[in-house]
Amino acid sequence: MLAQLPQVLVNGVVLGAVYALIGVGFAIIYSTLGVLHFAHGIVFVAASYLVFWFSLTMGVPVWLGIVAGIVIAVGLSLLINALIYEPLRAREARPYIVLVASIGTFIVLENLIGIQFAFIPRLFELPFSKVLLTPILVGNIYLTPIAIIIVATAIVLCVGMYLFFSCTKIGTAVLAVGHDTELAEIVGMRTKLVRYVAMGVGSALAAVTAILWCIQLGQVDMTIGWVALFVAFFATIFAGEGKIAGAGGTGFIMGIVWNVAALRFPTKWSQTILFMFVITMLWMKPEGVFGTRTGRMGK
Amino acid sequence: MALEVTNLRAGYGKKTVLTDISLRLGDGEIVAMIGVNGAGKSTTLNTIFGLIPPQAGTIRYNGQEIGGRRPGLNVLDGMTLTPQGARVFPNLTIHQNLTMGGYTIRHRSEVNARRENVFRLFPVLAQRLNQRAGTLSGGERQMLAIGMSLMMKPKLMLIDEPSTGLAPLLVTEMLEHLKRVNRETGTSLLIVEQTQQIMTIADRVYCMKLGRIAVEGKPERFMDREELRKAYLADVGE
Repeated sequence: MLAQLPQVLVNGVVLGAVYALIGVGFAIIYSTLGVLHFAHGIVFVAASYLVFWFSLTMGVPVWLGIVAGIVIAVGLSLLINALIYEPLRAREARPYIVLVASIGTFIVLENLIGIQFAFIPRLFELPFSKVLLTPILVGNIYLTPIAIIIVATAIVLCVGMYLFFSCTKIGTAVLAVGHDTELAEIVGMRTKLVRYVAMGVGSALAAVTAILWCIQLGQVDMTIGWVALFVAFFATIFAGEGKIAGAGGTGFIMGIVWNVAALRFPTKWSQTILFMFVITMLWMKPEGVFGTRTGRMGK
Repeated sequence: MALEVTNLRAGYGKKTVLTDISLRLGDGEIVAMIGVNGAGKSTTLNTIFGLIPPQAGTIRYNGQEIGGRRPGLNVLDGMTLTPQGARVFPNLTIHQNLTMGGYTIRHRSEVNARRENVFRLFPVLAQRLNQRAGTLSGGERQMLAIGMSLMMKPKLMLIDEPSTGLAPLLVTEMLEHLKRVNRETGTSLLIVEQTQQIMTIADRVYCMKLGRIAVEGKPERFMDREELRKAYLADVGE
C-alpha cells in the first residue's frame, strides 16, 4: 500500500490542481458580486461542449475552437450578470431570490445544451488527445502529459491571479468592491464595471479548467457542471468568506483527500469520505480553514 | 460659492427624509451640520455626493448643477465624501487603501506623491504601510479614512461624523488636522457632527431637524448652552 503512495499523491496533486482552479474562479465571483453563482456550472458545460462542437463536429481548427469556446462561455457569464444579477441588484432583491434565479438559469441553460447535444457523455478526442493521454513512467510514477499541463496551468494561473490582485489597480479594485461596494462607489470606482471584470476573470478560469479537464477525462459530459459547481461551492465556503487564494488551497486539499481516501477504501467511498472530511473540518472551524472572524467585518 | 443647495428634497425609495434643504458653502469655508440622530444629516451629504438621487431641488457645485450624477464624476471634480464610522477596506493594507482612495488618478507617480502628502499629515500611517486596515485602532482608521479622501486633493470635503468612536482628546486632534487641511489647501469642509467641539473650528453652523434646516448661524450663537440644547433635542419646539 505504501508503495502506491507516491502515485496516489501525484494523482491527488493533479485533481487538486483542477479543484484549485475551480475554487479560485468561483471565489472571485462570490466575493466580488456577493452572489452564490450557481449558474457558474454552466460555464464548464458550455466551454467543453462548444470546443466539442466547433472542433469535432464543425471541423474548426482545434486552437480556434478552444479560443472560441472560452470566449463564448465567458460572454455567456457576462450575459447572465447583465440579465439576471445586475437587474436583481438594482431592485434590491434578497440573496435567496438571486440564488433561486441563479439555479433556475443553470437548469434552463443546461437543458438547452442537453437538448442540442444529447444528455449522454460524448467522446472528446481532440487530434492531440492520444499523445496527451499516453502515460510516461517517471521513476515508478505514471504521469500523462495532460496531467503535467494541468498542474502547470494551475500554477501559472494562480500566480497570475495573485499578481493581478496584489499588484494591479483593477485587481485591488475587485477586492475593494467585494469588501464594501458603497465605499468603492464613494472613492469613484465604477463598481458595476468591476463586477463584470470579476465575472469575466472567474469564468475564464472556469472555461480553461473545463477544457483541460475534459481532455483528461476523454469525454464531455453534462454532469461536469454540477460536479464543478459542488467543488467550487465547497472549496469557497470551506476556505472562509472572502478568501480567494484560500479557495485554491482548499480545492487542492480536497483533490488530495479524494485520492488518499482511494488508497485505503474502494473508490465508491471517495466522495463520501471527502465530504465527511469537509463537514468535520467545518464543524471544528466554522469560519473556514483560512477564515478569520475579523474578515467578516467588511460585509 | 463652492456649494449651493436649494430646496432639496430626497429620501430612500418612496420615503422622503429631507423635505426642504437649502444651504450654502463658500470657498475655503468650514461649515458644521448638527442635529439629533435621524434629522437627515447623513442623507444630506449622501444626496449632495450623488449616492442618493434627489427628488426635487438643485445642487450646484462651483456653479455647475450636479444633482443626481454618479459619485465618480464628483470625485473627479474634487469633491469627496468621508462616510460615517471610519469606513475603510479592512482586508486591504493601508498602502492599498490609500491607492483606492486615489482610484481615479491616472498617473502612478501622482498617486505616490499624494500618498506622501497624506503621510506628512498622518505620520502614523506611514509606519504601518503594509498592515491591514482592519487591525488599526479607531483613531488610526479615521485618519486613514480622511487620508483616502485627501488622495483626491479635494476642493470640497463632505465629512460624516469624524469624531465617532474617538476619545475626546483624539477628537480635538482630528478636528485640528481638518482645520490644518483647510488652512493649507483652501479646501471647503462640510462636516456633520454631534460633538460640541466642532464649534471650535467651524465658520458657520447649520442645525437640522426632521429633514429641514432649523437654525443657521455663527458658532458663537450655538455656544450658548441653552440654544445648543434647543437645537439638539427634538422635543423642544421652535
